[in-house]
Amino acid sequence: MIRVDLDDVQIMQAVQAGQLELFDQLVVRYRGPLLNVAWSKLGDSNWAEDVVQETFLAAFAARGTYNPAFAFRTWIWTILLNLCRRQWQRRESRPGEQRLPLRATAEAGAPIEPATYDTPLANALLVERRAQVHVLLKSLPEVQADALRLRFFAGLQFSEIALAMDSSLGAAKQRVKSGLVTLAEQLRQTGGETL
Amino acid sequence: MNCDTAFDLMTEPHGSRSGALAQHFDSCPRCRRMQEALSPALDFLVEGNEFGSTGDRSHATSGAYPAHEPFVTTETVQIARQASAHLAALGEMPRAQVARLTARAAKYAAAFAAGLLLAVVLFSQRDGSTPAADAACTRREAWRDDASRTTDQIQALVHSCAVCHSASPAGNDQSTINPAGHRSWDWLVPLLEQKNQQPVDDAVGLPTGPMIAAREEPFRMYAGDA
Repeated sequence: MIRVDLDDVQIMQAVQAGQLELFDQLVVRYRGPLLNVAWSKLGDSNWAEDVVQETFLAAFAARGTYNPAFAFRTWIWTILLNLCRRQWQRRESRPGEQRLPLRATAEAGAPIEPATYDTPLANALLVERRAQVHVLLKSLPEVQADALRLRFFAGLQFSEIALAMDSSLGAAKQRVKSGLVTLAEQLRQTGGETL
Repeated sequence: MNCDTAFDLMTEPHGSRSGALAQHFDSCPRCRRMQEALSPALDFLVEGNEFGSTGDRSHATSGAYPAHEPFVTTETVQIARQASAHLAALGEMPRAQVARLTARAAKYAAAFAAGLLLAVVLFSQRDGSTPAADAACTRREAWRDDASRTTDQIQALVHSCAVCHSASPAGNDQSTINPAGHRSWDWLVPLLEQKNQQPVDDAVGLPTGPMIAAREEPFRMYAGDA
């Protein structure tokens, strides 16, 4: 793949002008963080894969509506959050597709995460930590959990979080702060053992 | 650095290692305590993110679920379009807010200017009607040589006071200059018409006898009170 030194807006403008292959650059930039957030929100790597894939495809299909007045990453995160919510509702309404229990899966030696990490131990740690993150964030109010995900996993500025979550800047900061306070309290009480 | 910026740094992946943040903690115990209280959660989330960002992301799936072919639905695209429209609308908001604030500021400025103009007009009119004799109060001059005052001089003194001051018999110390002063004369009439003016007490310069005695009568609210 050709690496280009264009910023997101320039890439999107080029894509809108017909250089469709440049969209791959955006996929490379955002796939990891999007997967991380989707995984922590949905608790399942396959669901997360599906949602991230859908997110990119939707952005590509709706590329004509992109407006350089707002940041691409705010847009892509907004799409992802909405699709995650929709995915969760869809799965909840179809019990046959419930996700596998995280710990049971990890302990049974059949990690639901990709088996391409350095060692089985590293992979197990990763799965366990992700499961912990998912469980703890799941216990928070959704707006607080989403604000934390966008801040820590997506690396968004508070102003971008506010845009993606349709809130004021103050509300975005307050959500992060409240989520951190609750999370810290839970971690103190459990000593980090959440599962 | 203010506390708001400190919180921003605190919640950045590597912001807690910032020297500026450490300096802020030295001078702000409140932020330092907050950082200490939040540190388990901050560490947990930062570590969780580092875990999630390691390794190959080509994602050869485990086979627990069938791999999906790329797909996109009309509904999904609609979500992207709605997000786009929504963000564009939010992007327009600051400009609209600036216009609204400018209009409001213009209204306030116009109201202030009108008030200022009105005040200037009123003060200029009032200045024109204020007697210039305020500083030269003849009453003060008259009290100075009270020992030699005659009845005629007392009358002249009372007249001179009444010309400018609208004092009332109730004894209001805060008498005010009254250039018109017609009404303030009324209460003086009975006193000035007394034919038998009392001798002046040389010690204090005030008339003695019935006039003073009348003032010393006890207050009666209703006629016939004892």
